Amino acid sequence: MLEFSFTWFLEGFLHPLETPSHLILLVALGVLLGQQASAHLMRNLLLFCVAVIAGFIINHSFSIQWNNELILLILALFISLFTVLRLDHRLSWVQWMLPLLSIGCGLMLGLDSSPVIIPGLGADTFYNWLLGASIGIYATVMILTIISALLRNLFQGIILRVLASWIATSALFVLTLLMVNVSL
Amino acid sequence: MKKIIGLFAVCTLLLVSLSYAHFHYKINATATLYANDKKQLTAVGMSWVYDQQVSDMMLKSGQSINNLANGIMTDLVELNYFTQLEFNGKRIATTRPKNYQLVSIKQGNKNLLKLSFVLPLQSPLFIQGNTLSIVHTDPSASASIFYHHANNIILGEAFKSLCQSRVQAIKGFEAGEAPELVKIRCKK
Repeated sequence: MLEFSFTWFLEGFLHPLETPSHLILLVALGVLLGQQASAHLMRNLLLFCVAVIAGFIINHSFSIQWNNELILLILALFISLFTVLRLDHRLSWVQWMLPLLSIGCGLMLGLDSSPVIIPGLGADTFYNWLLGASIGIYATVMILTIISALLRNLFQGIILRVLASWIATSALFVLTLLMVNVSL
Repeated sequence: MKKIIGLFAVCTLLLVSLSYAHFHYKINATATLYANDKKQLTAVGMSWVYDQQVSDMMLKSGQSINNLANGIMTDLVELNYFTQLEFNGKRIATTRPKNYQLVSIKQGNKNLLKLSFVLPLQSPLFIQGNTLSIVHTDPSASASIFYHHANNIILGEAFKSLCQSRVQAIKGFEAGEAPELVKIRCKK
């Protein structure tokens, strides 16, 4: 019988916030979705949430050896550049690009989230951790999306574009450190 | 605008107050080499003492010691028993562990759990003139297994006069990676 464990839930909840590449991608996606809030926001958030769970399942079922951190950072870089450009959400390619990016981010975050497993307490740690991680990921994106949606028209959207340029810089910075093999 | 700044401040405070390190635990290990009559290595016996935090979690999980032992061994299959045996740098194939046992032990005023099992080699191996390494890693990046001292590698009668064990700490090891370099060098 599975029991709720706050320790493992909190471990999972904090995982995306403690992992630089996850946090950068979550902030980048939240800001982009907030900036493009008029373009099917709920659909994109829902696709993102489903993709995160799909990523968890794929990660657990198959042993995929990708350089996840690199992909996460490159995604964050692209997303923040989209935000800097402040694309018009009425353009048809932007309308299909947003759901694709939401799915891509969700899948990659799920794939790169490996739960804490203590042998003997496996099921408890595993499911509580995953529950915490999903809620942590969703909450971060939603909070950031709401804040960005509120800020999107402020000073003609400059605040979000400046923020996105910081995110792009952070992603590039972490990518550079990865390339020179500095562990974070 | 004030509301937005307030919201930012609350979120930042929340994140800062929640931030703490990823869960880690320590296992103090002892390894024993087993040999057959031909002085070939046949198995490596492991004895792991969990740290107090994890011992407490397990003891308070409401499972009996036997159920816990079965659960640990089942979960360890997916984690390759945290153990990789290498012969001159090449991985040695092992089979399913046997003779596993979990007992509660007392160290000072602490109640700790000690797991013992024997990891048999798929085929016996002459290690004379060669180097055997024991590498412990945890794919979920939580456990770190330490020997601390070469005395915790028990060579047994067959290898005592031939082999020498060395345990060297690895500086700046990442969570889940091997914290020590464990090598057993044997003469011909």
